[in-house]
Amino acid sequence: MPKGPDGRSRRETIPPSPEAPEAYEFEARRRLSTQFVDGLRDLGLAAGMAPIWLVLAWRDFLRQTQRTFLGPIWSILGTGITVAVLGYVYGAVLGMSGSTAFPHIAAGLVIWFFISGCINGGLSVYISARGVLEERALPIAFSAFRFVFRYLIELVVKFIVFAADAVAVALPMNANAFLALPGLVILVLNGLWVVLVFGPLGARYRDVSQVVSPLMLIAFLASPVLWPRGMLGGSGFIALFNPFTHFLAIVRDPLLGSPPSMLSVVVTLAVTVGGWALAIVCHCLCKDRIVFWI
Amino acid sequence: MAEIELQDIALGYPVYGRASRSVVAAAASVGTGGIIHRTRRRRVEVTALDGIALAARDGDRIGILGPNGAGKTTLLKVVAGILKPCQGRIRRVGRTVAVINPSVGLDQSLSGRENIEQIALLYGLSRREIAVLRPDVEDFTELGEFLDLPVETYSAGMRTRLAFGVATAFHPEILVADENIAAGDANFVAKARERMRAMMDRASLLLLATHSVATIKTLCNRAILMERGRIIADGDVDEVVARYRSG
Repeated sequence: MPKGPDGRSRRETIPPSPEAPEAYEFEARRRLSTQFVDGLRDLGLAAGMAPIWLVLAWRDFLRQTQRTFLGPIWSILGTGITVAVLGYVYGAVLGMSGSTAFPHIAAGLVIWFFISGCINGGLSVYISARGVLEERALPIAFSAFRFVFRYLIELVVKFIVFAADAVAVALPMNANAFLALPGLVILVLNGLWVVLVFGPLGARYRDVSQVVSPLMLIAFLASPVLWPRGMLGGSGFIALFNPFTHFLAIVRDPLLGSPPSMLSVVVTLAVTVGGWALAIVCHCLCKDRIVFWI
Repeated sequence: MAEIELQDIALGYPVYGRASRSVVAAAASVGTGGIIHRTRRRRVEVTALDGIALAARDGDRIGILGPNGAGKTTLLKVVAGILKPCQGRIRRVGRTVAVINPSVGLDQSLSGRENIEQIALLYGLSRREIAVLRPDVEDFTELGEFLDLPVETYSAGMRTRLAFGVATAFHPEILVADENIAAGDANFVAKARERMRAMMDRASLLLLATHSVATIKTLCNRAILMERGRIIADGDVDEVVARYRSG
């Protein structure tokens, strides 16, 4: 134990925290290039804090059902009931057999919950992280990563519903199912850029989330979440112009036994690259102002 | 080796929403608050800091005095890196902890213990380090069995105890603190002062905002007087205090 100046032993010094590097420098009205280096460093520092935001994301997930008797099981139960009802109704309306309708709808809904969570919730991510942002000098992207991984945890937990459905209808799965994993990685990468772009946007312009929530309902009904794209018949190609179609496909198609189409892979990868470019620009330009907007 | 250097810092808080239309631009000469004005882009802004220059080295214990709204807390947040100024440069060397408004960081639905753990996690502490830290904080707060209850069941004073206890458990080289947070019953205030003092003694550079002249006189070897976002006096504690009192 190190001794204090008065000779008494004192507790070990707490090691430097990642948020408070030994040296901190900031200059206002910087050149754009400096601002970009700074923004990228923020993303890097935030990524380096993964062990911390993963724990916090897990707690955020558990907190939703805090004080309930069933706890996180509600998350599964809620999805299960939705899938059961919508599977029954849409299966009947669309004339699908139960063994195709239920796994299709279960996988579609679980993926959609992640997508819509990132888009709707992303708009308020910094507003809800106000406490942390106003008191601590953490990397700004920390709150964004924490948020996306909470939704990823939810996706993984809700996946149990799909698994149960697959077992119940004896879904013939094959090795293609493993292709869902790279699909999921692409999905998460997109969730991250969406939150990095929508976070500052929603904090600065509060009207955006009022516009986006009704649009997401339309997107839900207009995307092949519940119905299979083939049901559109001759005009099925129109759904191909909807990016959500492809994000659903890269995770769901492998689970249902077929590899995703080349088109879906290309579209989603292109959106990932474009989205991240936008996110980096957005993050670098906005991150220092976010605290003033919330 | 701790060091802080601020050059020509300016910072304005933008005002959004209804207020931005109804506020009369340059509603000047009131004694409190920053200066309200319209920017060139016709946005309303409150200037909280203007032309701040400050250099501090190891051994400096600086007390910041000034009326409400003089910019004391904003200055602390700029030094801590929470707020980025819109003009000027900052350089800071040394591990820093900021204790500004710790109750903001509390999570209402988590228990006291979980909050301690969560805040420590955010400081980047490992589980082992948290285990070392926790008994110290729990002792200080005297919350006993309440530590297992969610924070939303706490009284305002109990929340302060908890937040203050965690925030002051660290041993930084630079301590940036707003002393006006230590409110509570007389017993707690005395205890909080003592704990803060112990923390300050260990830090090699202190930046403390306070309204208490007595605190500054006992803890600091240098004082700064702020008014409307500017430093109007900087130097010997007794001289600055005299100027502060003369108003």
